[in-house]
Amino acid sequence: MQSPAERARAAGLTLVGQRPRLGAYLAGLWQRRDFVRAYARARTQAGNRRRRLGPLWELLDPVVTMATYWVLFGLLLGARASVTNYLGFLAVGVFTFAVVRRSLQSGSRSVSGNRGLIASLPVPAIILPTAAVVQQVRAFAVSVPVLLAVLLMTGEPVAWSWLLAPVAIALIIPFAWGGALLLARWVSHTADVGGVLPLVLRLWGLASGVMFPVTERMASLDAPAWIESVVVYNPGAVYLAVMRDALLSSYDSPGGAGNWVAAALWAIGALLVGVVVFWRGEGTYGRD
Amino acid sequence: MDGTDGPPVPNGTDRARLPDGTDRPSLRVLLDDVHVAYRVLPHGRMGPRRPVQVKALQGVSLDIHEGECLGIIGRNGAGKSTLLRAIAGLVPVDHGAVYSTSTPVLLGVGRSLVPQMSGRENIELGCLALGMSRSEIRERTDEIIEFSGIAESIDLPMSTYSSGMAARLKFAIASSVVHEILLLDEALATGDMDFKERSIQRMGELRDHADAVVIVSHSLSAIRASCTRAVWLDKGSVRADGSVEDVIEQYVDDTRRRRQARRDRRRAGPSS
Repeated sequence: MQSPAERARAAGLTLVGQRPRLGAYLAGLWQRRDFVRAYARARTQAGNRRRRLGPLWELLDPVVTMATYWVLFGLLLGARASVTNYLGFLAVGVFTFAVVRRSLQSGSRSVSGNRGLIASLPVPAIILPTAAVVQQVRAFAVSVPVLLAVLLMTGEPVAWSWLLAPVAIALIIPFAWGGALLLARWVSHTADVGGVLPLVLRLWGLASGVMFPVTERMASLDAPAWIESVVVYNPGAVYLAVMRDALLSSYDSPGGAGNWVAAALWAIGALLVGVVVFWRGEGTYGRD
Repeated sequence: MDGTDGPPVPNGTDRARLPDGTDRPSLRVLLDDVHVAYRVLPHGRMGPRRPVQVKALQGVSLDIHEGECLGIIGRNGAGKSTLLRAIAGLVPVDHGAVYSTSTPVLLGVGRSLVPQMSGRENIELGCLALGMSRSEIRERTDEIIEFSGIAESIDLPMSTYSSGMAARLKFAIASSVVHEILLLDEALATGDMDFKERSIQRMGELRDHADAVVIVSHSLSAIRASCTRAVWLDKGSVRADGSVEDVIEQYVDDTRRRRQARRDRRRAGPSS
């Protein structure tokens, strides 16, 4: 009498619902790339169609945020005085951090909010956080002209260093993707995390210097050295620093070239950890 | 498992095994003691809550062979849909295992559609989710629209559709792909009489193209019409497995007994 497993093997059957190897898993994602792109676009358009101003909101959102911060931090708290071109500083900060924050935010909910899709179609769950990140990167791409307009209006000269900005973005995207994957798995089994995440992300933005130069402030605080390195080399601060160094000639971040090394390391690290952690959870995401 | 020469399996007698231990005709899907439980958080209490287990499948073992069309019957909540999703590998199995020659596919488009988008855009989305290439989609779109029978509303957002229209579009998309091992939830065939007839016919075509089929249906006549074997699922376990007539008879008897028991209880007087 054969065991069921032996009978299955004898008949050439394989286990269903088995997590594929990492390579095959990523190949599955690549195979569905057209769906990822179409789904990201559809979700954006679906969001816009409900609003009267439609796609204009993708530009209005960062502009309104920027205006709010400018009044709050620039005018009322006096951050304007600490940076030469405060509006430019703020614009780069808000637009850059928005990619990270919104990718993590919508990526974290992408699996728990779309279980129906995973539980009904033979698709790798990684398509959902990936589509969420693609959606946010598209939103950023749309808003780039506004960012450039603010820079030019505030008197920033067009410089060769601007060419470094796409490089910085190319490092931010893998970081945001990896982070979104990590959070998506976490939120999928502990929904509570999703509840505190918006708050944590805003505080992180504050601590990373979206609204005022935190890293410079640290030096004058007389904090222990390790706290200073944590603040200066946290991915948020690092990505803001490389973007500002690239786009603002009136501003030089304290970290200098070291920031680029940190930016690359964070990108590689987050993506590796995120992909592996998310892949290891495959097969559990369809559960309600 | 060359899988081309096996004759259709006669009703219920598929357990015949050759002395060397191999199955004839070739085995396509094997379920070995499959358990599935859902974990839910209980309602209504403040403070940290512990998840409660709801058992949906409790030890289901089945062999499905080439050429078979297996009908699953049972009452609501017996675990029929969970069984289909477990075979497709869409819900994780807590204990036991599902083996198969190729990944069984549950007919449907799931939640891959976006209600704010038009029917045409959703055809593209749904087909991409099902793994079609862009050129295949271009080829099939017109056929899908025609089958759905909602050509005049195809460029309106899906959220403006009636539930019947949406169901037709979803069925038209999902049924445009042929699968080797097909899992069907007959509740899919909805809509007016004309569409129902056409979708039943379409399901028949899909069945003909598949090597093995599992159907969940509440319609005993549909099971009689298309299945070669039936399984009665009750409270997450197999209560009967065999020829369509035998299994349906047992199921109908049981349903009658239950009805009679309910009637008797009622007659026994209103107990407070």
